[in-house]
Amino acid sequence: MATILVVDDAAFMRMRMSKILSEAGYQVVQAENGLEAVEKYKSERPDAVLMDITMPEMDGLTALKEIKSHDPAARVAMVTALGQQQIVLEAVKSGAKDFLVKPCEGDRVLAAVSKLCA
Amino acid sequence: MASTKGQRLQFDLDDDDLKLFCEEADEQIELLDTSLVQLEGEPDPDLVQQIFRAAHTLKGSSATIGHKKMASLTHAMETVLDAVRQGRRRPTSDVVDALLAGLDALRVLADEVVTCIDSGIETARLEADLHAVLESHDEIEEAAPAEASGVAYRLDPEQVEAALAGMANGTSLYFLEIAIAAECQLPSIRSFQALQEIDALGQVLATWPERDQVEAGAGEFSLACFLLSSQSEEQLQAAIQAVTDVQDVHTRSVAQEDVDQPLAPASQPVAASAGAPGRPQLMLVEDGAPADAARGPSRKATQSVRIDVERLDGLMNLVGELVIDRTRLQQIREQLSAVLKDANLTELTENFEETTSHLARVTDELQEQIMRSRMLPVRSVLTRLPRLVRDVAAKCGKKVELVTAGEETELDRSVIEEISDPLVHILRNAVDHGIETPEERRAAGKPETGLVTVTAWNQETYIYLSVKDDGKGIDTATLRRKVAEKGLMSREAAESASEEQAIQWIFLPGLSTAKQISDVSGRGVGMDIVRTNIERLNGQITLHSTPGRGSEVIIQLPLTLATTKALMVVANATVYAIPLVSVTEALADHEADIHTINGRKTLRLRQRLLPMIDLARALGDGRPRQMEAGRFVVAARHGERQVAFMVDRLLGEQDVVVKSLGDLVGNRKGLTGATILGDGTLGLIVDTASLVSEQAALATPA
Amino acid sequence: MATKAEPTTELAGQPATEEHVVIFRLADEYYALDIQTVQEIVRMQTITSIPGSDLWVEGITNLRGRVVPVIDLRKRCGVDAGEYSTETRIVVVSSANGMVGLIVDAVSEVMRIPGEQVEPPSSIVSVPENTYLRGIAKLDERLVSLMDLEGVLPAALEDDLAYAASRAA
Repeated sequence: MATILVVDDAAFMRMRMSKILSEAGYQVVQAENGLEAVEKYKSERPDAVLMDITMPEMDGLTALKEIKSHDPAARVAMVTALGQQQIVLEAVKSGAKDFLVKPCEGDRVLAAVSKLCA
Repeated sequence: MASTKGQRLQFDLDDDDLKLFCEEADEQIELLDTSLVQLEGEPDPDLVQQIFRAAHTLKGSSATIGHKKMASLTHAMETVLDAVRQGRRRPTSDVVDALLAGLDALRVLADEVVTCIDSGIETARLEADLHAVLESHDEIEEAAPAEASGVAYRLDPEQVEAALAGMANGTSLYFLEIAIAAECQLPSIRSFQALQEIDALGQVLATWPERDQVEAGAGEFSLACFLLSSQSEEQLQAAIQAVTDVQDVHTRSVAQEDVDQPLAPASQPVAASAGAPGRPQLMLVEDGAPADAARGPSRKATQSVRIDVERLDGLMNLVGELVIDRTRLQQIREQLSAVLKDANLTELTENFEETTSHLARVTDELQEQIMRSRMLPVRSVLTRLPRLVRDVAAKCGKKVELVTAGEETELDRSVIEEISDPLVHILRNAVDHGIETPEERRAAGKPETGLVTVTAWNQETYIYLSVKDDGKGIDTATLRRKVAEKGLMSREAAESASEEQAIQWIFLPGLSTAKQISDVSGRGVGMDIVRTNIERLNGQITLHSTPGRGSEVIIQLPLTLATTKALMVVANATVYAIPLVSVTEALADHEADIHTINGRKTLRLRQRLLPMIDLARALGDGRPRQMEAGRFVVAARHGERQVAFMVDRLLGEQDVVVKSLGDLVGNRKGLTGATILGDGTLGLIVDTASLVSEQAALATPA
Repeated sequence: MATKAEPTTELAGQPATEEHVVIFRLADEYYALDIQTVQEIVRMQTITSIPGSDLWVEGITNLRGRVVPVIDLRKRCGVDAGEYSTETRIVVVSSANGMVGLIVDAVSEVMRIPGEQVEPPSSIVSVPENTYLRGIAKLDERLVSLMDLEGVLPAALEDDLAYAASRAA
């Protein structure tokens, strides 16, 4: 089964996402900021990434760009809240395949992930 | 409006989630609490970003567990904060007030997650206020309404040329209409994604809305375009449908002769999705900030793990055990060395010595480290103060600036928990009674805004907290009158006491110097209670005051309540620990200047007469005497009162780990707990505060 | 917490009224405590007396870093208190007021007593303050008094509080 990297600085959101994904049989790797996400991406080679946008250390957009420059085929979906439209747009321009708007309902997350991994 | 108060609430989270949710919510609320008051004026962009992120995180998690009220309120707060962040709204006091009011409600709402009972709190009003704050200075440019639908789509002559050229090369011209699902929350981005897909399928001749508008995020629920492509309609449909939230793709092949003809939008369902009934009225906050603005402040994230306090206490207990074993081992080592010295086993004993001393070092280090892990910066207490000062000052109609320093000073979490209330009380006093009204200050030639400084620092094994104000100082004239009125001392004594002495009367029970008991400082809780609480923690409180210049209260506390420095003594075969903070002198009987006054043994020490008390007897030890009492005298003080305890032996100073006597024995008068001694037996820790007051009172009948 | 006793469980197929107890001796009398309340049994060790305590509150002791109050059950139950011997034990029990050590002359055995062998205390003896006895079991030649732990202790607590109050007054 595919491995998904879940990136969010809020432990609660990470746990939530991880639960949804692992219950559906995915392997989950977690990172709590952009910097860690880039490192984990390189070391774990996940099949897809769910990337929060607003994070300390390195934000999601920068992390996306880093990951993309490292692996142009990286499959990343941004996880966003309302009010971050410009950043999401920028992310999509920078190669994000999809985005999810918080709050993330389980089936939307799974739909997005299965699409990413397809 | 019918109240829903008391109704049961259900949230979408299990017990694990709950714990995490609460911890994080508390953290974010705490952060908002400490930083919102700093928002006013010219805030640091990093701070604004941090506050925004806290609100944002709260919104995300509350929405996730289905706490609609909380999500909605945090969204309103976030919207205001976003405007501040982008410089669209200055954080004036009305903004901060609205946010603080929201924050107070957030606490209640977060509690609902735990109690699962509707608190009945009304948030609509708060949200309206937040909205109003934004409206009042609304500088947001209204986003241009999306391209009106119903307009015919038509290629301009240049595009017609391009279309014809393409068609001549064997590609087909298509007119595509894409509808984005009504529930999609960021349709413009889906439009953009769809456009990206279409770009990959061929040559795009024209789009509605125009390409730059889509790229700028102006797209809405529909997108139309002319495309030259070699793909089939099915292929086009499939590729574009792959974009999430694309609900419908309508394709039309355009014949060569129709290239310059206007095309009407397909009636269903594309046209319906643009501006027709059923379209959700989603409020999108346009985020015009450059991407960089969203980058977090360069806050250094410390790697931390949450540990249950109980577990830490357990670790402390274990280490305490290790410390005792170490001491025992050292004793055995000494005995062994003595016995084995002659037996030519020097290598063995040396090895043993090396090992025991290494164990001793490691144990000490371990104890130190665990102690440290219980230490928290005093910041968590100090950061609550600006809000308090702001509220109190507003209530009293005063202008007060609070300056805090030494936030990094660390102390044991047990002390942190205990210090908050006294500190808050002292601070309230400083603002309420110390600082004058702006008019009074102006009259006295002072700046209108009073200054209160709270400073924390470490010195040896104590932490000091100072609360200093530049107000009017203690009103000793009123104190003198009050003391006499209440019959606490004679009028003559009250009048003749020195200023220094009179100032200390503020700590006497039942004295309140405020002319009227104010709403702020409350009724009944005076400085006497504060002092009692501080002394219960083996601390000391001192007060300095200069008329017209202000006052300073200094609290001295041990760094930790888990251990305390004590003078170990033996009285009637029992070991007692007398906290060092209260010991003023310890001396042998024969060195002491002892007199008998009114049939009572009295120690004369530095021009003072101290009643001499048999420690064991004062504590209620009725067992037969095992040794003649009174070989040593320990002078101890509590506030202004001093007594001299008679004991059998002095064992020296020691750091003692304080343990409760347990529920069964309860809070025995005169004792605060027990401690484990080097030999594994127990010593009793003397509650000098209560014992000294009691004995001093007995010795000097009114 | 790992040390916490499991709630009383009954093994399948056994009568629900069976008593699983620790039997100990005070002078020449036998008593029993529910095994669920017993945390451990240790040899007699140094006890620090607390000035002004009741006679039968022996003091406090250090049980692996925990300060545990100790009660001399012999004095509590009005049994002649002789010298401590090599058989003297401290039975550490978990009560509503935390851990408490009970000094007994000897611990004899752990056993299951069938419910039908237990009778109410009044049927055999009539002790005026037998609040801490909940039954008497006849085992061969011996009489074993089943002790109610909370019955032994709350009185202790109240007495102590009353004492403290009288001192404070």
